[in-house]
Amino acid sequence: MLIVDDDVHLRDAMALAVQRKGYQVMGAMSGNEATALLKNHKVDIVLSDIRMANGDGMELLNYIRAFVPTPPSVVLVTGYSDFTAEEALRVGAAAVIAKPFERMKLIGELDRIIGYERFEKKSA
Amino acid sequence: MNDSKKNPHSLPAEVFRQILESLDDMVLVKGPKSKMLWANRAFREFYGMSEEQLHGIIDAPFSNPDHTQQYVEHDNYVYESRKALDIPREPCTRHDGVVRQMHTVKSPIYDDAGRTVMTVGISRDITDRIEGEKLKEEQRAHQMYSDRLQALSAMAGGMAHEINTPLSVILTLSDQLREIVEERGFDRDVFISSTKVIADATMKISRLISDLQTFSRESAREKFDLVDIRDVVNMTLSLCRQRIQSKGIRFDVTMPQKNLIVNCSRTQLSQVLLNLCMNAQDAIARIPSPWISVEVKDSENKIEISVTDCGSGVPLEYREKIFRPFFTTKDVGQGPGLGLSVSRSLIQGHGGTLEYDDKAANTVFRVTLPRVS
Repeated sequence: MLIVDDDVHLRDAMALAVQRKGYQVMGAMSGNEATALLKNHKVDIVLSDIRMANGDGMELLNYIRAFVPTPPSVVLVTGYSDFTAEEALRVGAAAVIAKPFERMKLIGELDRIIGYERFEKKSA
Repeated sequence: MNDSKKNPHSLPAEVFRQILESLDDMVLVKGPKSKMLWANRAFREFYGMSEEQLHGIIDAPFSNPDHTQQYVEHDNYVYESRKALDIPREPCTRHDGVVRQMHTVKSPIYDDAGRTVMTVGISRDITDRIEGEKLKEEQRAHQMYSDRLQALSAMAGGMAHEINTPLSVILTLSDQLREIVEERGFDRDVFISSTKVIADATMKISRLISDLQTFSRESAREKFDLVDIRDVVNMTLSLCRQRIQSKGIRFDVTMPQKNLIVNCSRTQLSQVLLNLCMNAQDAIARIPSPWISVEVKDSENKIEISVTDCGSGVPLEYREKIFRPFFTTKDVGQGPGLGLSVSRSLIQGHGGTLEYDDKAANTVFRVTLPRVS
């Protein structure tokens, strides 16, 4: 999967979290960087912040829907709830997650999207 | 009125009467002791009384006695002072009991010997105008309220984003740390790196909150000292000169050769200057042969500090917004957009001003502080 966020700490934290659950991760710090990466790499999921300079999450979503031959699922992360979340789902985002999010909710959402059932989770 | 005999150009008395009768303003002539002598049509209609009914009375029975008392006092003043009296607003009861607001001018009328023998009052009903103004005032207040609400919701959105991002970092890392410890026990490296990032994220939120607190004066109250402004400027600029010049930006400073004492908080003033210089540096990042100049000037009882950059000014559509909290033209991640609003609030705490100069050819921000000596 590809994680796109301009906050380096959050990007690293999210990458670490999903890596530990078995996802392979690439990172990008802007929508523009992400579109460049998508030209040469095939990913299943794009996890992106909505609000970024140099190509925000919505632009990235629209780009993926329009130009990527086998489009990955797009999960958008939003810092505050407003109409963009609804708009994102309407134009084809697989999910919108509001910050601050719990790690296992994020993982659960990603698992659901790729159709993976995780039996080991939250036993304790 | 036998003036027509003395002056051949004078109009007959009947014409004057018709002029008075045709006016919408009310005209009332009174003799001594406020006794009514004559009133024009507008007045008679307002009181709902005939010329005969009005003659000799002081006021109509339906008038508010307090108002009548006030009219009499005004009449007396005009009688004794022999001067006209302008009453911008006085209440007046109509025959149907409705109170209207009048603008009245009362003037004395003299006899041949120059004694006051009558007064004439001319009144205009200004009730509708007053109500119109009140309505406009209410609309203006409403507009201001909704503008403020809009600014507030934009601010809340910006704040939510700025706080929720580090909160996500804290939540994710702390939860993960717990999971790692549960799975495989204490891992020193993971512990150190995670807690460091958590601390950073916490500090980010804390800084944001302290920035926001400067908006309320109470918390912004720091110790003020009498200092030479040139020391503060020199000290601050030494902090950022290197950084600015390393980006190929020419950096000029001009200051008068004398003491300029202000009562200020060094740290706050320094914070403001640094913010202005960093804004300038960011704004001209893509301009060829860039420069920034800082100028300190003293004028009478004020000290001005201008930070000018080679840019061609703040775009018109941003000018109104740049001092608002959470407004930023910088890339996301380059700060929450509190710099100018916090700076202005700090300078106002010094009894000074921070303004954008919209008349200058280049981009100029100017701090003005009251001078002590």
